[in-house]
This record gives sequence, structure tokens and C-alpha cells, in this order.
Amino acid sequence: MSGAATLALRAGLGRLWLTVARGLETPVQVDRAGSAEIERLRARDPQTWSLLFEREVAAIYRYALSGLGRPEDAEDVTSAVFAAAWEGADRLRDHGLPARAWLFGIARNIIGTHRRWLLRRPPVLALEAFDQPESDRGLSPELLDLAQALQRLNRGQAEVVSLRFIHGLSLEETASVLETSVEGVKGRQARALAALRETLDR
Amino acid sequence: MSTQHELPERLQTALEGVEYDVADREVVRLVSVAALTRELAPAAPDRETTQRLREQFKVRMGTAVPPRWLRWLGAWAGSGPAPRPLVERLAAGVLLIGIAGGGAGTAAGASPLELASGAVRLIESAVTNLDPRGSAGGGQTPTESPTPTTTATPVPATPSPSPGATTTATATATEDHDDDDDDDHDKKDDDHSDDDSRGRSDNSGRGNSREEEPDDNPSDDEDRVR
Repeated sequence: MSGAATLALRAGLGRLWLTVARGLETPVQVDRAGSAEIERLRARDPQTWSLLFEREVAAIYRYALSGLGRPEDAEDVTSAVFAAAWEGADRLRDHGLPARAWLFGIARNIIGTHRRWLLRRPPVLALEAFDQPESDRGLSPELLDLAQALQRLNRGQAEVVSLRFIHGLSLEETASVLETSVEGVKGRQARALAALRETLDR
Repeated sequence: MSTQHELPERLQTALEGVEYDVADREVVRLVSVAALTRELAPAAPDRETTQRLREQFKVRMGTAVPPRWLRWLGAWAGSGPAPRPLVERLAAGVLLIGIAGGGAGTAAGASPLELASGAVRLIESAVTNLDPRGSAGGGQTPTESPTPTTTATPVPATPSPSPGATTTATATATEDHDDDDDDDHDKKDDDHSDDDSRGRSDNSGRGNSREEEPDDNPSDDEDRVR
């Protein structure tokens, strides 16, 4: 009785130690550079913020443009995103994701409320965003069909496709922006791509 | 059935380029759609736009950040990147007004106990008036009416050394009765005020639901974590 109890106790302690050791290891595995950057962003270090701006301004502008269609609106929204991020820097949390996901989340909210008082929520994708006057190229018929099919997707699916494949966010970043789970994003992207495939095949 | 459940996983693996089974036609078709979608690229900002944005951000970094309570107030008023729903903002407003009212009452000399008892009286009154049988007052009258009778009855039986005692007793009984009348009046007044407040809250409730309706979009949140 006592021998078996001692063995069980030792095994339990061993498991507990392994759990504690794994728990202690976890912070070491976190990207230290990313964590340090988040801390500096939280402290509103101007240099770190300037670097973040230079790195992400084009991506945020393109995201705003894809949602709103007009370059003037995209510029306003991009400016508002960085202003709101700077003001709310103390709310930034380290979830092991780059600050880009946080900026996209702010951008999504601002685009969603843009001119909401006067108009309905804008569509996830605005076709005019893909006109590129400087290149004279325009969209190929296939891409035009695809963009139109994207517009017909429901909002949740269109957002996943836009963030994942047009703006190149990872699964985790997309889940963070949409405030959902990674599994949810996986399922939604599969359904969205299947729906697009079906529309294009018609 | 199981392949349907595995499709998101297989697709994700293929998208990551870790494994790619060419025989899996369904996944191959979806990967090709994803690849096509990647070609949809909105225009990047031109040099002038980027410069303008940079200047604006530098100016923003140079100005002081408003204090947190002011930002909270702004968010409550509906500004900011993520405005809260109207219901949340109304609830926060009621709470703030309640706290401010409590503070004002305390400053005016009302103790917290009095404030609490006032709140309890208000709730009791509201519950009574919401009860359709209680609003007629039929249930309250018999309970209250015997009180002056029992108070008044023993007084004449008490040996009174002076004739003034009877007057006092009668006066007391009369006062009690008057008080009851006042209570009744108060009760009626309360009834009216409660009706008014109920009417107001109903209207505001309808207003809320009207304003919240356009925001509801169940299809948006099909995969949202609950």
C-alpha cells in the first residue's frame, strides 16, 4: 500500500515537474525581438513607431483601398489608423503576433464605421480598388470574374479571403483581426474558396 | 463525411506548401483559386501620398495624447476605431448618472442608508404598480385601515387624569388618519410618476431596438467564438 502510494506520488510529482518545466520554457520560445518591439510601442517610443509606420503604411493603405475603393478615403483611413494606434498604444498586448495584426484590426473597425452614419457598411471589396491607372493594364477577364465572385461571398468569408490571400496575413493574424479562432478561419477559408470555385466554374 | 471535416486541414497544409497531394483534386482546385486571388492586388500609395501620411503621423506623434478618461468619454460618445454598441453606451451612461446622483445626494446631506432605502422604496413601488391587481389598491386598503382603529380604540379606555388627554388621543388618531390619506395621495402620485417613467423607458427601449437593428448581421458572425 505504502509502496504503491509512494510510486504514484513520485509519478505525479514527475508529471507536475514536467508541466512546470514546460511552462517555464514557454516564454523563452516567444520571439524576443517581437516582444521588445511591442514593449517599445506601448511606451510610445517615436523611433519604433516610425519604423512600424514605414513598414506597414503601404499594407494598411492597400487594405483600406480594397475596402473603400477611393484613394482619398483610403488615405484618410490610413491616417486615422496610425493616429488611433498611437493614441491607444497602452492597450496593445503581446499575443505573440506582430503589431501588423493589431493595425489591421483597427483598420477593419475604422473601415466598418466609415461614413456609417450616412451609408450602409461598405462592401469588403470594392472593385474600383483594383484599377491601376498608372499601369494601363486593368484586370484580366478572369480576375474580374474572381473579384465579382468575391463581392458575392458573405461578409465573413470575403473578409477571410481578403486578409489571407490579397493582403497576405497568416492564419493567426487573420484570426486576431476577425476576433475568431484559427480553426474558424481555416473552415471559413475552405468554404470561401469552394464557393469561389463554384461561381467561377459556372 | 470525414473527408469533409478534413478539408480545411488538407487545404491549409497545401496552402503552406508542406504537403501537396496532386491526386487530391478538390484541394488542388481550391489552391488554384487561392493562387488566382493572390493576383488581385490593390494599388499601393504613391510617393506623394506616403509623404503626406508620414507628415501627418509625425505631427500626431508630436502632440500630446489625450488622457485616458477623455478617450473613454470619446469612445462612449461613439467616436474612435471601435465604437461600443448603443446598449453598452446607454448602460454606462445610466451607471455614470447613478454614481453622480449618489455623489450629489451624499453632498446634499443624504446618507447612503437613506439613498439605499429610497432606492428600495422605488423598487417596491415599481413592483406594486407593475402588478395589475396591486395597482387597483384593493389589496392595500384592508391592511392599512385597521391600524388607526387599533391605535385609537385603547385610548379612551386609558384612565385620563385630565380632559386634554382625550383631545390628544383624538388628535393622534386624526393625525394618523391624515397621514394615511397623505400616504394614499403619495402612493397615487407615485403611481403616476411610475407610469410616466415606465412609459419613458418603454419608448427608450423601442428606440434602442430600432437603432440596433441595422447593425445586426448574423451572417457576419457565423464562426465567431462564443
